[in-house]
Amino acid sequence: MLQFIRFLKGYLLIRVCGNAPERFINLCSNHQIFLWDIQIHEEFYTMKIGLSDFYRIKGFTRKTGTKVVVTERFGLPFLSVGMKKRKVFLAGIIISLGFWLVMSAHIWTIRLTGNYYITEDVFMDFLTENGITHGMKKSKVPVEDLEKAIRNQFPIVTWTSVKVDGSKLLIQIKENELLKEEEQPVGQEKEEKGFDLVAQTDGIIVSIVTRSGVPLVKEGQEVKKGDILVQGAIPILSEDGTVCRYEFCEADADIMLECRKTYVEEMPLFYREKNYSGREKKRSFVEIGAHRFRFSILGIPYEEYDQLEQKKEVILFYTFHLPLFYGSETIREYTGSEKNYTKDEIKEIFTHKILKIIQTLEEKGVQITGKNVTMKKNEKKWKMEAEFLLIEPAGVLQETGICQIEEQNADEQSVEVTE
Amino acid sequence: MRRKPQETPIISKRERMAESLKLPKDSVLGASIVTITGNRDVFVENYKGIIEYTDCRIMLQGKNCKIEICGKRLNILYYTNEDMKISGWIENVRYMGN
Repeated sequence: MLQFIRFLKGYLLIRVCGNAPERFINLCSNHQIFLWDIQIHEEFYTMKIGLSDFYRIKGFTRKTGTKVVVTERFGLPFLSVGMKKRKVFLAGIIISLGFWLVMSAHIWTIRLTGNYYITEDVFMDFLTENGITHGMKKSKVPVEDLEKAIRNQFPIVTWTSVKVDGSKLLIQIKENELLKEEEQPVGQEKEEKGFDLVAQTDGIIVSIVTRSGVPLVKEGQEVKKGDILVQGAIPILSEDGTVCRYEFCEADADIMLECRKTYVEEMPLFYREKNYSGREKKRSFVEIGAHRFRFSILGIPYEEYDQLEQKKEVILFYTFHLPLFYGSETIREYTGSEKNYTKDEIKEIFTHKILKIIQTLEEKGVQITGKNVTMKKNEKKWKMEAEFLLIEPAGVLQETGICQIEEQNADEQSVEVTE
Repeated sequence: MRRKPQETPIISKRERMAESLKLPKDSVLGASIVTITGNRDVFVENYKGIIEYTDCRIMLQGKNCKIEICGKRLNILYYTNEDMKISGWIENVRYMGN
């Protein structure tokens, strides 16, 4: 450490020769001048002296009749002689060192591992709500409190570890491998409330397979929207046949319902046809926050044009999103003209739309047993009406409206009714 | 033949007081402290200055006496007005009267 400080201040190796070098050494020590590594050679002495002290020994040399010669120079002041003309370079090194020291005291990357059911976006939102963000000081990260908060917020997490490693915040979690069922709404126990399956649309029951609950409909029965299909309250009868209490559960059944659905699509009579001239212009840009800076002095020389934009976000260390974007804009010139849709063109467009609707329904597991498509034209637009006869899964969960009956005397026997 | 009486060292009053009161002699009497580590290093405190310095002999002036350190390849590692450190091959350390 002492050597480092001496290096910072700078020191010299001097050669002392003359009549009374010992007197010279004594004079230096009396004037608080520190000398070290004093060695004797045949005709002279060598010793090391600090740079600032060297400027004070002129009088002593005259007094003692000695001659002092500088043989070597050590330390930072001598390194910086060459740097006098490059002060900015030196300042830059110092500033960057300082910047590096300050930045390394903050968190710049947050990495989550071990998550399967919990998505990263959800977890990052949770961290933001708890005050854990990019750029925060490492010393302010509450490691133990964060671990507790993770376990409280996400019951599926069985084990968690939070570690600060350099400028990274590493969060490891272990989720429960057995999938948990969705929790009941807070404040309600399963025994107190049940859930019915109700029809979401009018239709005819095609098939019903009940797994839990009491089915109130059968195959071929017509139902209206909102009708209860499977009841989530199983009545428990007493000896005399009256309902003494209800056993609540979440109704579960596979119900297929035949229903009609109508889809309407409209198209305008006229459209603007774009004839691209082939001329296009590309320009790059950088976007900081809400401000965009384009690398192009000239404006857009076209009257009518399409603009296609490709933009990328700057992300550091996988998760640190900067409000900085870069990309390019492609501007293509066209000349527009108004045109009428012909019947064939409209038919083609509507066919394409219907095929898309059918594809969406089929992906949902809906069976299409019939369809009826009509196309009409009025003063302002083309209109297509497609009526489908569908067989789709039915039944949405809804809290049962049945309330629990107060229990009879404990002596009465109960009979469970099952169907 | 008569034997010459041995010269007894004269102990001053101050020295006697320091001894009886168990006071530190380097502060009260200005005595030099010489600490020798093996035969390699000598650490000297409380001296007035250096009288002679050669490769094989260093002579220091204490308050009441001179200290002579003899040896080979003697170097002064550092020297201040309060203490100094000598390294080398130490052969003997002698106290000589003024």
